[in-house]
Amino acid sequence: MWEEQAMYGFRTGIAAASHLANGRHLLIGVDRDQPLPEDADRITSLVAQLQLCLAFALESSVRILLDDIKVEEAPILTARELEAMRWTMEGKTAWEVGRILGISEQTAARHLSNASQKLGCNNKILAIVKALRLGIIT
Amino acid sequence: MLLDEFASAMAVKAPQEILDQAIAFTRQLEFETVDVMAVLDGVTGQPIFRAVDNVSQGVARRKHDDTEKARHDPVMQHCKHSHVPIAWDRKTYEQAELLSYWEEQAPFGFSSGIAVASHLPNGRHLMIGMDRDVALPEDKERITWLLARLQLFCACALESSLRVLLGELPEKEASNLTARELEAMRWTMEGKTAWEVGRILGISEQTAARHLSNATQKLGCNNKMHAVVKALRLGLLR
Repeated sequence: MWEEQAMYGFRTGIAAASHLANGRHLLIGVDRDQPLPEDADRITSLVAQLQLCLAFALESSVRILLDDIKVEEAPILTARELEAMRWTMEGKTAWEVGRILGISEQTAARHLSNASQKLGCNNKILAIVKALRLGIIT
Repeated sequence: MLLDEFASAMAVKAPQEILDQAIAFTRQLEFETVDVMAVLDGVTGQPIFRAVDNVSQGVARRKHDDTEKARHDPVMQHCKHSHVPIAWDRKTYEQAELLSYWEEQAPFGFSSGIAVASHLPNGRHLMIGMDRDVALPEDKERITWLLARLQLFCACALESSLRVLLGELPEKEASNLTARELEAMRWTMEGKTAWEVGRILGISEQTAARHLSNATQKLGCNNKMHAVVKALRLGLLR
């Protein structure tokens, strides 16, 4: 594989990646047809600069590059729905959520089912896991 | 290929090793104190902090145990949300209109510093901060060089430090889930009912439910929802 790419100028390179919550990643790789420097200090500097560049480019690049893909938009949940989700995540039943928020069990269950629906999930566990992935609740 | 200190940061196996590596690296960058802090977002509200530092006892500053201050400290706040490093000094606190914080900490050797945090999926964070009692270099290129080295060090130390610092959480050790319990949890996370989990794993609904309730108990949780969230946090599920 290396032999195949080397003739096109990809003999050596450095690369770094960063991983965001909600399943997004940014990889930056730079290549050249020259060998890497011999000096470990010089290589460390190169990698360090690339790493810093990656950190600064991360959020904006992911936003711009993934813009044309329908990245799943986080739906907007009401404050009540979020509260109900947060307590459910901590193992509370709809009845308990109702008591904590001072609303009826039915209302608590309705908040949860509305939230699940907005998230496109057909049950509470899926909805919570998805909300965690999307960073709506932490 | 990297310098030794970066390679060895990837291989740390104990908190003391993390601290030793970090101190050596901090001296190289000409800073004095260092603080390596791992954070696991809390399932029940309060996050878990595990830190090593060489800050002498009794010197209170933007430490996580002083939560009220940490909540406002501009450096902590930056690190909480940002992926990029920060170089800070008196001006940083002045701009945040919290000069009194800086005045309080500066006499103890926290006059300027650099800090960075990395944020992993599943609610884990590593923050490294270095401080000193003299000003930051004037030269922009030199500051960039410092920040780049710190950023790289953090990237190298990230996985091993989190494993060492957060791996010691008693609940994770105590949980000890079996392969079957984990499988049952994984399908539950996908929204499957106990009946469905049973069909998928070729076991009875009762056995599936027993795996789930054992797992829930081992994790110290109230129900399977709670257990799934906690297992995600602890990195037992992905």
